[in-house]
Amino acid sequence: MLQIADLEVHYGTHPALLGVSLVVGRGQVVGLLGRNGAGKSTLVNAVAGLVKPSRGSILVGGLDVRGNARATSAMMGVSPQELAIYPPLTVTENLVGWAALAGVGGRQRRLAVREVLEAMGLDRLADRPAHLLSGGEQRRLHCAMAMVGRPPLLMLDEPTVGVDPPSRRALLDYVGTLASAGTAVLYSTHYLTEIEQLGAYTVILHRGRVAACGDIDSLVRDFSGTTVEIAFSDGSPPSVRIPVADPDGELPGIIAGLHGQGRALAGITVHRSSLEDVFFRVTAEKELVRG
Amino acid sequence: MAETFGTLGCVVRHEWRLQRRDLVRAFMLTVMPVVLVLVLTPTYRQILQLTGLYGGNGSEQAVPGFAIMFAMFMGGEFGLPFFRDFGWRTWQRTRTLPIPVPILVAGKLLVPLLLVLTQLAAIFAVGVAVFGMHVAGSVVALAAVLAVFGANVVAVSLLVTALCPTVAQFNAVNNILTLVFAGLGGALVPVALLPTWLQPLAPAAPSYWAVLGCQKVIVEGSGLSQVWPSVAVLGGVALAAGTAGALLLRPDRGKESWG
Repeated sequence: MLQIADLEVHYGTHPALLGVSLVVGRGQVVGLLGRNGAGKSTLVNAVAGLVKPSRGSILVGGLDVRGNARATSAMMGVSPQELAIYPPLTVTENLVGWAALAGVGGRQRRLAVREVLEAMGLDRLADRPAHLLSGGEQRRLHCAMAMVGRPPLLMLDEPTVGVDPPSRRALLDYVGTLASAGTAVLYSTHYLTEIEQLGAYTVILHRGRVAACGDIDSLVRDFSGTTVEIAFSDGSPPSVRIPVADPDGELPGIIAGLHGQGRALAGITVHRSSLEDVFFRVTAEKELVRG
Repeated sequence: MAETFGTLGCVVRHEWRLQRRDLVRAFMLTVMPVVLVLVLTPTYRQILQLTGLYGGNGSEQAVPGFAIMFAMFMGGEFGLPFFRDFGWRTWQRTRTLPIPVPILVAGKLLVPLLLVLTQLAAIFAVGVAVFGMHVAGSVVALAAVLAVFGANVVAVSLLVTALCPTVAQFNAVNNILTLVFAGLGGALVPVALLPTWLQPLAPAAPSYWAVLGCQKVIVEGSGLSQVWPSVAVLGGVALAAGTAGALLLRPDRGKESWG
């Protein structure tokens, strides 16, 4: 649904994206991770046509966004990082008006608005002016505007900022539902647990480049891995930490080897890495390379 | 073509949905000139009698003059929603929609144009019904002058919006242009009463052609064939200002709003 190849974006002389390539297929969720200023929002804005790439190509539904802006825009729903709603209008008016502008017509519009109101837990707030909503409720409305009408490509840039845990769960569930129905989702966030909950293919951007990408398991295996910490009761060193690829398969051999050396074991702890470990490792390594 | 008009209709309906929430400003800009006509018509009558410019009860100067001046104030009805959208960040977001920028801008122009035309029609209707203004000539010619002037006001407002990076600048420029054009164009006092050195500059103000066209119809009993210079000049300025505004309005460049 979305194919980005060798994308470069510059703000003046400052490079914001350098040689970024990624693909988001139908029904796939791709999570974008990265520190502040890594280029996540620039990537979303480039696909949305808000910033002009200096190099590379962006295809949406097989069409190049350059020269087909209207057709490609019609295929995407965009929830920008910064809140953008109409404060004087009610929740329903915001959604109905936005759906109409997005080209969702007539009877389909009413159904689409009703669906997204319920999915995002906004149905009881339907007649409330947006300026009277809490910050989290406004954020949910902001995201709902992108989702109304189920666009084939959904791009959410930090959609859960200020959203309470139940609402965050509802949003993630609905994103999952849309993906199951075939929507391609590009999901930018700082909350790594959301990527894990979505089971997303993960792209970590660092200083405008793709620093790592893959599904969560392969990232953990390739960039951080699992370690076994073995504590001894018979003196120095008190413990050692050994990286292992397959703890269940390798541990018996390790234990047997230590017994053969006459070491008395006090305990064994398996440390499985998380996506957060991968994130810190990848971005820290890149810092060192740069320094 | 049908799809373009359909999209334009969506933008206009959305813009109207937003603007109808706060029509107080438009209402005040319609009532205030009527109050000024009420207060100043006797003064204009005396001035016209003393100078012998033309007869009448003074409403022939007061009604078109104040209507034209406050229509220019109403021009802010275009600029303010534009800056409002920047403040809400919805302008940036609407650019992700499958709507070309010219249609977005045109949709935003149509609502204030309708407001300006409604305002002008209301003030002239009150002028005839309440203040005894007699329209000696063609009502169609009068309507043509006012319609083109309305388009002129909105087009100039688009240009000012394009040129001003902040809403504070927009307000200042819009108000100053309104007062200068109203004074220079004969909306406040007849051009013949302006200082002699200033009178040759009067045709540079679009309001001059609007006042001239209105008074040709109201006082001299003219028809369409006599007011075409006013219609042509106002239409030309509207086209030039609108084109310049559309070219200079950089949709990707941010503007500073109150928000």
